[in-house]
Amino acid sequence: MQKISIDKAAKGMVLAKPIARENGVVLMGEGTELNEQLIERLKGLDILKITVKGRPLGGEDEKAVETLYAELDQRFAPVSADKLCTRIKEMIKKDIKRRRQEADL
Amino acid sequence: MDHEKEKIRRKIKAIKSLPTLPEVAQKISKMVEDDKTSATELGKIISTDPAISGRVLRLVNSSFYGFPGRISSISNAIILLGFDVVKSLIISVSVFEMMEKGILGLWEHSLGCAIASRFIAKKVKGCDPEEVSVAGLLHDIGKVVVSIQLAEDYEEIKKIIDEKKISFIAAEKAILELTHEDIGSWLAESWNLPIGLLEPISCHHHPQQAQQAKLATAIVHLANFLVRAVGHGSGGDPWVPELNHKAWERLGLSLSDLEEIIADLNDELESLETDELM
Repeated sequence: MQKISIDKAAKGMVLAKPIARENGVVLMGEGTELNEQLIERLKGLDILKITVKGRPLGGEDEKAVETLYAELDQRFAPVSADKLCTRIKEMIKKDIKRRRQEADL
Repeated sequence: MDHEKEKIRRKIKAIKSLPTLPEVAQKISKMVEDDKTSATELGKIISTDPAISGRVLRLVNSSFYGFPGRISSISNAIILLGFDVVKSLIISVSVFEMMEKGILGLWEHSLGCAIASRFIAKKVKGCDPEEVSVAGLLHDIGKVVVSIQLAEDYEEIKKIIDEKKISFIAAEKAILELTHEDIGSWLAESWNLPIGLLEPISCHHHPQQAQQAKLATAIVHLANFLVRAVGHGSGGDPWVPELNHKAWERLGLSLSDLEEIIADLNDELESLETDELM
Protein backbone atom coordinates (compact mmCIF):
# COMPACT_ATOMS: atom_id res chain seq x y z
CA MET A 1 0.00 0.00 0.00
CA GLN A 2 1.29 3.43 -0.86
CA LYS A 3 -0.14 6.92 -0.40
CA ILE A 4 0.64 8.95 -3.51
CA SER A 5 -0.18 12.38 -4.83
CA ILE A 6 -2.74 12.50 -7.61
CA ASP A 7 -0.11 13.72 -10.09
CA LYS A 8 1.56 10.30 -9.82
CA ALA A 9 -1.63 8.32 -10.34
CA ALA A 10 -1.62 6.07 -13.40
CA LYS A 11 -3.96 3.74 -15.27
CA GLY A 12 -4.16 0.31 -13.68
CA MET A 13 -3.49 1.37 -10.07
CA VAL A 14 -6.02 0.01 -7.58
CA LEU A 15 -7.37 2.04 -4.67
CA ALA A 16 -6.42 0.53 -1.31
CA LYS A 17 -8.61 2.99 0.58
CA PRO A 18 -11.86 4.64 -0.47
CA ILE A 19 -11.70 8.28 -1.51
CA ALA A 20 -14.01 10.34 0.62
CA ARG A 21 -14.85 13.98 1.21
CA GLU A 22 -14.12 15.42 4.66
CA ASN A 23 -17.83 15.03 5.47
CA GLY A 24 -17.52 11.29 4.87
CA VAL A 25 -19.24 11.08 1.48
CA VAL A 26 -17.46 8.33 -0.47
CA LEU A 27 -16.50 9.38 -4.00
CA MET A 28 -14.80 6.18 -5.09
CA GLY A 29 -14.72 2.84 -3.34
CA GLU A 30 -11.80 0.70 -2.23
CA GLY A 31 -10.71 -1.70 -4.98
CA THR A 32 -11.53 0.70 -7.82
CA GLU A 33 -9.10 0.27 -10.70
CA LEU A 34 -8.07 3.67 -12.02
CA ASN A 35 -8.22 4.71 -15.64
CA GLU A 36 -7.50 8.06 -17.29
CA GLN A 37 -11.10 9.18 -17.00
CA LEU A 38 -11.29 8.43 -13.26
CA ILE A 39 -7.95 10.16 -12.60
CA GLU A 40 -9.16 13.28 -14.42
CA ARG A 41 -12.36 13.19 -12.40
CA LEU A 42 -10.39 13.02 -9.13
CA LYS A 43 -8.24 15.97 -10.23
CA GLY A 44 -11.41 17.87 -11.04
CA LEU A 45 -12.69 17.15 -7.55
CA ASP A 46 -9.49 18.65 -6.09
CA ILE A 47 -8.41 15.36 -4.53
CA LEU A 48 -4.68 15.63 -3.72
CA LYS A 49 -3.78 12.20 -2.32
CA ILE A 50 -4.89 8.67 -2.93
CA THR A 51 -3.85 5.37 -1.39
CA VAL A 52 -3.19 2.55 -3.83
CA LYS A 53 -2.37 -1.14 -3.46
CA GLY A 54 1.16 -2.42 -3.69
CA ARG A 55 4.15 -0.10 -4.05
CA PRO A 56 3.77 1.17 -7.64
CA LEU A 57 6.19 4.06 -7.06
CA GLY A 58 8.78 1.75 -5.55
CA GLY A 59 10.69 3.43 -2.80
CA GLU A 60 13.24 2.02 -0.40
CA ASP A 61 13.50 -1.70 -0.08
CA GLU A 62 11.50 -2.61 2.92
CA LYS A 63 13.56 -3.42 5.96
CA ALA A 64 12.74 -6.45 8.07
CA VAL A 65 10.54 -5.61 11.05
CA GLU A 66 13.27 -6.93 13.37
CA THR A 67 15.75 -4.45 11.89
CA LEU A 68 13.28 -1.61 12.42
CA TYR A 69 12.79 -2.68 16.05
CA ALA A 70 16.55 -2.85 16.64
CA GLU A 71 17.05 0.64 15.18
CA LEU A 72 14.22 1.90 17.35
CA ASP A 73 15.88 0.45 20.47
CA GLN A 74 19.11 2.18 19.54
CA ARG A 75 17.45 5.55 19.11
CA PHE A 76 15.84 5.18 22.53
CA ALA A 77 18.99 3.93 24.31
CA PRO A 78 19.72 7.23 26.14
CA VAL A 79 16.19 7.42 27.58
CA SER A 80 15.71 3.74 28.48
CA ALA A 81 15.11 4.61 32.16
CA ASP A 82 12.25 6.99 31.32
CA LYS A 83 8.88 5.24 31.59
CA LEU A 84 6.98 7.67 29.35
CA CYS A 85 9.63 7.33 26.64
CA THR A 86 9.44 3.55 26.89
CA ARG A 87 5.68 3.79 26.51
CA ILE A 88 6.10 5.87 23.35
CA LYS A 89 8.63 3.38 22.03
CA GLU A 90 6.05 0.60 22.44
CA MET A 91 3.48 2.71 20.54
CA ILE A 92 5.91 3.14 17.67
CA LYS A 93 6.56 -0.60 17.61
CA LYS A 94 2.84 -1.19 17.41
CA ASP A 95 2.58 1.30 14.55
CA ILE A 96 5.42 -0.37 12.64
CA LYS A 97 3.42 -3.58 12.88
CA ARG A 98 0.19 -1.87 11.80
CA ARG A 99 1.77 -0.31 8.74
CA ARG A 100 3.44 -3.53 7.75
CA GLN A 101 0.16 -5.41 7.98
CA GLU A 102 -1.62 -2.78 5.89
CA ALA A 103 1.16 -2.84 3.31
CA ASP A 104 0.78 -6.59 2.98
CA LEU A 105 -2.89 -6.30 2.11
CA MET B 1 42.78 30.82 27.26
CA ASP B 2 39.97 32.79 28.84
CA HIS B 3 36.77 30.83 28.24
CA GLU B 4 34.47 33.84 28.49
CA LYS B 5 36.47 35.70 25.87
CA GLU B 6 36.45 32.73 23.56
CA LYS B 7 32.69 32.40 23.96
CA ILE B 8 32.14 36.06 23.14
CA ARG B 9 34.42 35.79 20.12
CA ARG B 10 32.33 32.91 18.78
CA LYS B 11 29.12 34.73 19.52
CA ILE B 12 30.23 37.78 17.55
CA LYS B 13 31.35 35.58 14.69
CA ALA B 14 28.01 33.80 14.63
CA ILE B 15 25.98 37.02 14.79
CA LYS B 16 28.03 38.76 12.13
CA SER B 17 27.49 35.88 9.80
CA LEU B 18 23.75 35.57 10.37
CA PRO B 19 22.25 34.71 7.01
CA THR B 20 20.48 37.70 5.51
CA LEU B 21 17.09 37.19 4.02
CA PRO B 22 16.48 37.64 0.32
CA GLU B 23 15.29 41.10 -0.67
CA VAL B 24 11.72 39.98 -1.22
CA ALA B 25 11.52 38.52 2.30
CA GLN B 26 12.81 41.79 3.77
CA LYS B 27 10.24 43.82 1.83
CA ILE B 28 7.49 41.51 3.01
CA SER B 29 8.56 41.78 6.64
CA LYS B 30 8.01 45.54 6.43
CA MET B 31 4.71 45.24 4.56
CA VAL B 32 3.28 42.73 7.01
CA GLU B 33 3.69 45.26 9.82
CA ASP B 34 1.68 47.86 7.90
CA ASP B 35 -2.06 47.46 8.56
CA LYS B 36 -2.92 49.00 5.22
CA THR B 37 -1.23 46.28 3.19
CA SER B 38 -3.71 44.09 1.33
CA ALA B 39 -3.31 40.41 0.49
CA THR B 40 -3.25 41.28 -3.22
CA GLU B 41 -0.43 43.80 -2.79
CA LEU B 42 1.58 41.38 -0.73
CA GLY B 43 0.91 38.59 -3.21
CA LYS B 44 2.19 40.78 -6.05
CA ILE B 45 5.47 41.48 -4.25
CA ILE B 46 6.03 37.83 -3.43
CA SER B 47 5.26 36.80 -6.99
CA THR B 48 8.13 39.00 -8.22
CA ASP B 49 10.43 36.26 -6.95
CA PRO B 50 9.28 33.17 -8.88
CA ALA B 51 11.65 30.79 -7.11
CA ILE B 52 10.36 31.75 -3.69
CA SER B 53 6.70 31.91 -4.65
CA GLY B 54 6.99 28.53 -6.36
CA ARG B 55 8.42 26.94 -3.25
CA VAL B 56 5.82 28.54 -1.01
CA LEU B 57 3.01 27.25 -3.23
CA ARG B 58 4.50 23.77 -3.31
CA LEU B 59 4.73 23.82 0.48
CA VAL B 60 1.16 24.99 1.05
CA ASN B 61 -0.14 22.41 -1.42
CA SER B 62 1.79 19.55 0.17
CA SER B 63 0.66 17.32 2.98
CA PHE B 64 2.43 19.83 5.23
CA TYR B 65 -0.80 21.80 5.27
CA GLY B 66 -3.30 19.31 4.01
CA PHE B 67 -5.82 21.76 2.59
CA PRO B 68 -8.48 19.86 0.69
CA GLY B 69 -8.20 21.96 -2.48
CA ARG B 70 -5.28 23.28 -4.49
CA ILE B 71 -4.06 26.77 -3.65
CA SER B 72 -3.02 28.24 -6.95
CA SER B 73 -1.95 31.77 -6.10
CA ILE B 74 0.06 33.47 -3.41
CA SER B 75 -2.82 35.87 -2.66
CA ASN B 76 -5.05 32.86 -1.93
CA ALA B 77 -2.38 31.43 0.33
CA ILE B 78 -2.24 34.72 2.23
CA ILE B 79 -6.00 34.83 2.65
CA LEU B 80 -6.10 31.24 3.89
CA LEU B 81 -3.01 31.28 6.07
CA GLY B 82 -2.66 34.90 7.16
CA PHE B 83 0.20 37.39 6.70
CA ASP B 84 2.37 36.11 9.51
CA VAL B 85 2.30 32.49 8.41
CA VAL B 86 3.14 33.37 4.80
CA LYS B 87 5.97 35.62 5.95
CA SER B 88 7.32 32.78 8.08
CA LEU B 89 6.99 30.35 5.19
CA ILE B 90 9.05 32.65 2.99
CA ILE B 91 11.68 32.82 5.69
CA SER B 92 11.55 29.02 5.95
CA VAL B 93 12.07 28.37 2.26
CA SER B 94 14.90 30.92 2.18
CA VAL B 95 16.60 29.32 5.16
CA PHE B 96 16.22 25.83 3.79
CA GLU B 97 17.90 26.79 0.59
CA MET B 98 20.92 27.35 2.79
CA MET B 99 20.11 24.30 4.88
CA GLU B 100 20.49 21.86 2.02
CA LYS B 101 24.23 22.51 2.13
CA GLY B 102 24.40 21.94 5.87
CA ILE B 103 23.40 18.88 7.86
CA LEU B 104 22.24 15.96 5.75
CA GLY B 105 18.68 15.04 6.66
CA LEU B 106 17.96 18.26 8.58
CA TRP B 107 15.38 19.39 6.03
CA GLU B 108 13.52 16.07 6.36
CA HIS B 109 13.76 16.33 10.14
CA SER B 110 12.41 19.89 10.10
CA LEU B 111 9.55 19.13 7.74
CA GLY B 112 8.69 16.05 9.80
CA CYS B 113 8.71 18.18 12.94
CA ALA B 114 6.38 20.69 11.27
CA ILE B 115 3.94 17.92 10.37
CA ALA B 116 4.11 16.40 13.86
CA SER B 117 3.57 19.86 15.37
CA ARG B 118 0.45 20.33 13.28
CA PHE B 119 -0.99 16.94 14.29
CA ILE B 120 -0.33 17.65 17.97
CA ALA B 121 -1.69 21.21 17.73
CA LYS B 122 -4.94 19.93 16.23
CA LYS B 123 -5.57 17.95 19.43
CA VAL B 124 -4.53 20.69 21.84
CA LYS B 125 -6.91 23.51 22.73
CA GLY B 126 -5.87 27.13 22.49
CA CYS B 127 -3.24 27.14 19.77
CA ASP B 128 -3.02 27.93 16.07
CA PRO B 129 -1.95 24.78 14.15
CA GLU B 130 -0.65 26.83 11.21
CA GLU B 131 1.66 28.97 13.30
CA VAL B 132 2.77 26.04 15.44
CA SER B 133 3.68 24.01 12.37
CA VAL B 134 5.87 26.84 11.08
CA ALA B 135 7.51 26.94 14.51
CA GLY B 136 8.23 23.23 14.07
CA LEU B 137 9.66 23.87 10.63
CA LEU B 138 12.04 26.55 11.95
CA HIS B 139 12.97 25.10 15.35
CA ASP B 140 16.46 23.98 14.28
CA ILE B 141 17.49 27.00 12.15
CA GLY B 142 20.34 27.57 14.61
CA LYS B 143 21.86 24.32 13.36
CA VAL B 144 22.06 25.75 9.85
CA VAL B 145 24.33 28.49 11.15
CA VAL B 146 26.39 26.02 13.18
CA SER B 147 26.92 23.73 10.20
CA ILE B 148 27.63 26.42 7.61
CA GLN B 149 29.01 29.52 9.33
CA LEU B 150 30.89 27.68 12.07
CA ALA B 151 32.04 24.88 9.78
CA GLU B 152 35.29 24.11 11.64
CA ASP B 153 33.52 23.87 14.97
CA TYR B 154 30.88 21.73 13.35
CA GLU B 155 33.53 19.19 12.36
CA GLU B 156 34.63 19.03 16.02
CA ILE B 157 31.02 18.65 17.12
CA LYS B 158 30.52 15.72 14.78
CA LYS B 159 33.72 14.13 16.04
CA ILE B 160 32.81 14.18 19.71
CA ILE B 161 29.23 13.02 19.05
CA ASP B 162 30.82 9.98 17.48
CA GLU B 163 33.55 9.43 20.05
CA LYS B 164 31.74 10.25 23.27
CA LYS B 165 28.24 9.20 22.21
CA ILE B 166 26.72 12.47 23.36
CA SER B 167 23.83 14.44 21.89
CA PHE B 168 24.27 17.25 19.35
CA ILE B 169 23.30 19.86 21.92
CA ALA B 170 25.73 18.47 24.52
CA ALA B 171 28.48 18.52 21.89
CA GLU B 172 27.64 22.12 20.99
CA LYS B 173 27.95 23.11 24.64
CA ALA B 174 31.31 21.34 24.89
CA ILE B 175 32.76 22.89 21.74
CA LEU B 176 30.98 26.25 21.32
CA GLU B 177 29.69 26.89 24.84
CA LEU B 178 26.50 27.93 23.14
CA THR B 179 23.85 25.98 21.30
CA HIS B 180 21.61 26.10 18.24
CA GLU B 181 18.87 27.33 20.59
CA ASP B 182 20.92 30.47 21.37
CA ILE B 183 21.85 31.04 17.75
CA GLY B 184 18.29 30.32 16.60
CA SER B 185 16.92 32.92 18.99
CA TRP B 186 19.36 35.57 17.65
CA LEU B 187 18.20 34.76 14.14
CA ALA B 188 14.54 34.93 15.14
CA GLU B 189 15.13 38.29 16.83
CA SER B 190 17.03 39.75 13.91
CA TRP B 191 14.25 38.63 11.55
CA ASN B 192 11.56 40.05 13.86
CA LEU B 193 9.74 36.76 14.16
CA PRO B 194 6.74 36.75 16.52
CA ILE B 195 7.12 35.30 20.01
CA GLY B 196 5.07 32.26 18.96
CA LEU B 197 7.95 31.29 16.69
CA LEU B 198 10.82 32.72 18.72
CA GLU B 199 10.22 30.76 21.91
CA PRO B 200 9.83 27.32 20.30
CA ILE B 201 13.11 28.04 18.45
CA SER B 202 14.97 29.21 21.56
CA CYS B 203 13.47 26.76 24.10
CA HIS B 204 12.57 23.53 22.27
CA HIS B 205 15.03 21.57 24.43
CA HIS B 206 14.10 23.52 27.58
CA PRO B 207 10.34 24.08 27.24
CA GLN B 208 10.10 25.14 30.91
CA GLN B 209 11.99 28.32 29.97
CA ALA B 210 9.29 29.59 27.62
CA GLN B 211 7.56 32.65 29.07
CA GLN B 212 4.72 33.44 26.67
CA ALA B 213 4.39 30.76 24.02
CA LYS B 214 4.42 27.91 26.54
CA LEU B 215 1.96 25.76 24.66
CA ALA B 216 3.60 26.19 21.25
CA THR B 217 7.00 25.44 22.78
CA ALA B 218 5.70 22.31 24.49
CA ILE B 219 4.17 21.15 21.19
CA VAL B 220 7.38 21.64 19.23
CA HIS B 221 9.32 19.92 22.03
CA LEU B 222 7.13 16.82 21.74
CA ALA B 223 7.07 16.99 17.92
CA ASN B 224 10.87 17.09 17.83
CA PHE B 225 10.98 14.03 20.09
CA LEU B 226 8.45 12.14 17.98
CA VAL B 227 10.01 12.77 14.60
CA ARG B 228 13.35 11.59 15.99
CA ALA B 229 11.62 8.66 17.63
CA VAL B 230 10.10 7.37 14.38
CA GLY B 231 13.51 7.75 12.74
CA HIS B 232 12.69 10.31 10.05
CA GLY B 233 15.46 12.64 8.86
CA SER B 234 18.43 13.64 10.99
CA GLY B 235 18.97 16.23 13.68
CA GLY B 236 22.73 15.65 13.78
CA ASP B 237 22.90 12.69 16.20
CA PRO B 238 21.21 9.28 16.11
CA TRP B 239 19.18 9.44 19.36
CA VAL B 240 15.90 10.80 20.65
CA PRO B 241 16.32 13.93 22.77
CA GLU B 242 15.27 14.07 26.42
CA LEU B 243 11.52 14.29 26.91
CA ASN B 244 10.35 16.92 29.37
CA HIS B 245 7.44 15.45 31.35
CA LYS B 246 6.13 18.87 32.42
CA ALA B 247 5.79 19.84 28.76
CA TRP B 248 3.93 16.61 28.05
CA GLU B 249 1.56 17.27 30.96
CA ARG B 250 0.93 20.83 29.80
CA LEU B 251 -0.53 19.52 26.54
CA GLY B 252 -3.21 17.53 28.38
CA LEU B 253 -3.13 14.71 25.82
CA SER B 254 -4.06 11.11 26.54
CA LEU B 255 -1.90 8.17 25.54
CA SER B 256 -4.49 7.19 22.95
CA ASP B 257 -4.26 10.72 21.47
CA LEU B 258 -0.54 10.13 21.19
CA GLU B 259 -1.07 6.78 19.49
CA GLU B 260 -3.26 8.48 16.87
CA ILE B 261 -0.68 11.23 16.38
CA ILE B 262 2.06 8.64 15.79
CA ALA B 263 -0.08 6.76 13.25
CA ASP B 264 -1.04 9.98 11.41
CA LEU B 265 2.57 11.15 11.43
CA ASN B 266 3.92 7.89 10.01
CA ASP B 267 1.26 7.81 7.27
CA GLU B 268 2.00 11.42 6.32
CA LEU B 269 5.78 10.89 6.31
CA GLU B 270 5.34 7.89 4.07
CA SER B 271 3.29 9.87 1.57
CA LEU B 272 5.88 12.65 1.74
CA GLU B 273 8.56 10.23 0.57
CA THR B 274 6.70 9.75 -2.68
CA ASP B 275 6.44 13.51 -3.27
CA GLU B 276 9.11 15.82 -4.53
CA LEU B 277 8.55 18.69 -2.24
CA MET B 278 11.42 21.07 -2.70
